[in-house]
Amino acid sequence: MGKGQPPLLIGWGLRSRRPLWLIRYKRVGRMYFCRPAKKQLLKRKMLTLSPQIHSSSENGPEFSIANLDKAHMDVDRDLHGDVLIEGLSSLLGPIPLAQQSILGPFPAGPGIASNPRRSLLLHQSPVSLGHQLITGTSSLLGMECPLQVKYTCGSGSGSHHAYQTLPFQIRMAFSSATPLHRITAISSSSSSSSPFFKPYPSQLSLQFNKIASCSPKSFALANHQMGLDKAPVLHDLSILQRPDSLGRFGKYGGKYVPETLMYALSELESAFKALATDHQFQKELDGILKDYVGRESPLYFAQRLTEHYKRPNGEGPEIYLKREDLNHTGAHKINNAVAQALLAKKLGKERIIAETGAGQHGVATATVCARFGLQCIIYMGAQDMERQALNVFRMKLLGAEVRAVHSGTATLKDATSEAIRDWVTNVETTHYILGSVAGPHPYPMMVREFHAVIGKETRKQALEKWGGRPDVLVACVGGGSNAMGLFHEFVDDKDVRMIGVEAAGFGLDSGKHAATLTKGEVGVLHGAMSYLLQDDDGQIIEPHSISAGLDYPGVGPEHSFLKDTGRAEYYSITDEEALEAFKRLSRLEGIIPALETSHALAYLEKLCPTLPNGTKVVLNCSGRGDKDVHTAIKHLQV
Amino acid sequence: MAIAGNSAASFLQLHQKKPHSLFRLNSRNSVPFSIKSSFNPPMASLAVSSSTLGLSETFSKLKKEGKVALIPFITAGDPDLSTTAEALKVLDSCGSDIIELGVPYSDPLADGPVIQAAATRALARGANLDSILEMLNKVVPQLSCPIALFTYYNPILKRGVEKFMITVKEVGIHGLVVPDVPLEETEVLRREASKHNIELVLLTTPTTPRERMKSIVEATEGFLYLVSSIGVTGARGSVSEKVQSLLQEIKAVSNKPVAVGFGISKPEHVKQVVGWGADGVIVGSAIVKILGEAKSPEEGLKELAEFTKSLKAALL
Repeated sequence: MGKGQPPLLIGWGLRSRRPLWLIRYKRVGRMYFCRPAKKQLLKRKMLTLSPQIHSSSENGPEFSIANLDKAHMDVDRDLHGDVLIEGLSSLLGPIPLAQQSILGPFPAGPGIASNPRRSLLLHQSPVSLGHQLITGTSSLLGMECPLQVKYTCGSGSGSHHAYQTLPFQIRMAFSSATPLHRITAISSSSSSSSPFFKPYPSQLSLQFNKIASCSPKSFALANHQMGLDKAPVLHDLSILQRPDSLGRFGKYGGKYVPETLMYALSELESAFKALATDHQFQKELDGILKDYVGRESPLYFAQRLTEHYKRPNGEGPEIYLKREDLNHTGAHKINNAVAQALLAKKLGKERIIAETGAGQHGVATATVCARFGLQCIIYMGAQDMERQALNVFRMKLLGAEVRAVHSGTATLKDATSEAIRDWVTNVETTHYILGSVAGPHPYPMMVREFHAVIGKETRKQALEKWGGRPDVLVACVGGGSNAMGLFHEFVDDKDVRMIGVEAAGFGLDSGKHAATLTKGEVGVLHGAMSYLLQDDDGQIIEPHSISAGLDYPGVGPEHSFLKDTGRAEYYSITDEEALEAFKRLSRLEGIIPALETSHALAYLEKLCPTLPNGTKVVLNCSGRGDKDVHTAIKHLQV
Repeated sequence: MAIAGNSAASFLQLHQKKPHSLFRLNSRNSVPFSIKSSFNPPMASLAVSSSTLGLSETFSKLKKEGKVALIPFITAGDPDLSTTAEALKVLDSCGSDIIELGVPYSDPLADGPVIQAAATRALARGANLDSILEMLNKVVPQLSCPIALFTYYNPILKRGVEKFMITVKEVGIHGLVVPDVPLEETEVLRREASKHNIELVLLTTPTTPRERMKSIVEATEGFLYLVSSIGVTGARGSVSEKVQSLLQEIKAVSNKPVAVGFGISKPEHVKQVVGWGADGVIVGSAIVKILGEAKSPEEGLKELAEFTKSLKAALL
């Protein structure tokens, strides 16, 4: 491989209808080193590239990678200024080979025919309404098509560009239509301590005009400096994809609510975005999280649990528990409740409504309403109120009004429907604090951002403890808020494995379970398109789980998206296994976990034997089990 | 008829299976797409066997006569499907111009306690879309006014939008109202609905900003459903004053007929709304309540007839 090689045809531009060429320089293992092609070749092909790009070539070519739902590429820069394209195989991982054939014939060049995984670089996502997504590899320098290829964020207008990029350190100095330098300019100026400072696609288009165009050369230098500090910049950009401006994660998400709520939702979204850059708000929120909620929660090495999972030869993974159960109110729910209450105050709404299943979110909401002096009304299914009488009392003690919901099956889904109806009726005076990453946009995004502090702290603590990142993340999934909070920070770190554990109730075949991602089908529930448990007629069926918090027939749309793209894996655990784990952690570590968390803990039984020695597993201990002792008493012999 | 339907459906599927039809979605090359969209399966034309007019045609006929449409709403299957069948006939004979038939759903976000309870009762009785369509198959030929289905999005998605439209058209439904699909997401529905000559009615509310309301008015087919108040369905003491100004705003922007719904329960309300310039009046919970609370289905039907006549009298 070398300079003598002709450029390789690796794809066909769908928008531009032109061939896309890979100009390779050399290959080392799975990595391709690339240099810009000779000037003649470039000139011939670069019809739309400005000459400025050539001048930046002494720094080596810099480019960005357009990312798409199912495939992405890591780009890194090596010491010699050569551009390293890494992980081409990861690019093609989730794309079935069948789809590659749509994009036209691939030449049987070296490295192509022998390894088809290296050849596909184009993909049109057929499922997203309003998404026109075409990508090309970053190595296609001198290609007019990839450089023009944009990920249009659902707004329909073709000029709305956004890029998502995976961890990489180089930016391409494009000609005119390069939002990328604007993106980097934005992100470098925002502080990294705020929980949600990522530019959102629609926000991006505003800032499009504000930032003056910088010369590519100076930009390249600035880039180089910026590129050296890895994480914050890179992760901002990757978030652009999730969700897009219509609130979709791929085909999931959206805003399927009665028209009355549409304005309130867009108002909420703009308020949220405004507060994302409001330092005062950040400071206030950080202060409350620290002093009132008690963050940061420890990342605790569960020594005896680790010993328990050691194999006979002494090998086994290391298990760390992220102690969200040590937060005020005993669960992770307070992170979201506090931030949304602050948001409601900024919006000037005095009345707060919320739905609750286990009661934890209701307690968290009642707590923050007491803290901020807001009127609080909690909707809880009548059946759930019986199961969690302790939490009902707590909510009333905290000054909230708990309204029983008798309609439908009298559980969480009906409480959510009733809360949404209340919101429809009182939308002008009321803010609805949704407890999970479900519901209409912008809730999945907002709740995820408010819980993302879990993942951020985990990253920091992991770095301190063992100087690296976690290898496996495990969390229970009901609606998905604690899982999303932990996962979100690491979604772009390809080598971090993410596992969500749902409730299988009496067993997946029994028909009485809450394993939405395993057994559900795609539909619309409570405002979002996502997997849900429904019958043949499209009616939502009542799930069952011993833990009220996992007893939700839907799941957050982002989880559906992560499942479909294969980024996260989802398994399920029965009631019995959860109760076993409940006992086990209490005995081995002296921590009584919530029954919801016990599901995640129970999955460790199946997971740990498969993990190599020394794998770092971080499990989100999302709540404490004091509220579950009454249920446990009925089922356990201690 | 069924065989023709099957072949029509499979014919359509054949179109869809072509790989490049995916790209056509982006309509860069829109010619094949237009061919596809002008293809009406034979079922569509066969299904309009009744002599009823479509929704917009009904409205234009009424406008010529200077009348306002009466649009009652009932939940299918409450108290049971046979009563619903009778109720449809009663409503038709008492002077309804369009009938809205609600498909019961387990999580109705836009419905108040009365219609919620009706849906729960209907579902408990085993009502589902198939049985409702079966009932309609027998009843629709006997009706003189068109029927619009009021359903939530999930049952449609479960069947597949296209298949839903085909099945519903076979039975003779003229219109569709889906309250939980916002304007942005209606693209797919509208495309499929117009292919099968079903008019998709969109809703606008007092909280909708003006620009958005204009887009909704432009996109709606049949008529525009103006929600009279901020809230869910359910009888209210009086109709909000805002309706008057909203009606004026809408009329200023478009000629499409506007029907006002949610909360209208008495002949006085009907008169008020007609005075403000509405082209149609939708009465839901009040009627569902009558049928639901009646001591027996026959009693319920009698009361229904009386009530509908009183509403119709208010329109004249």
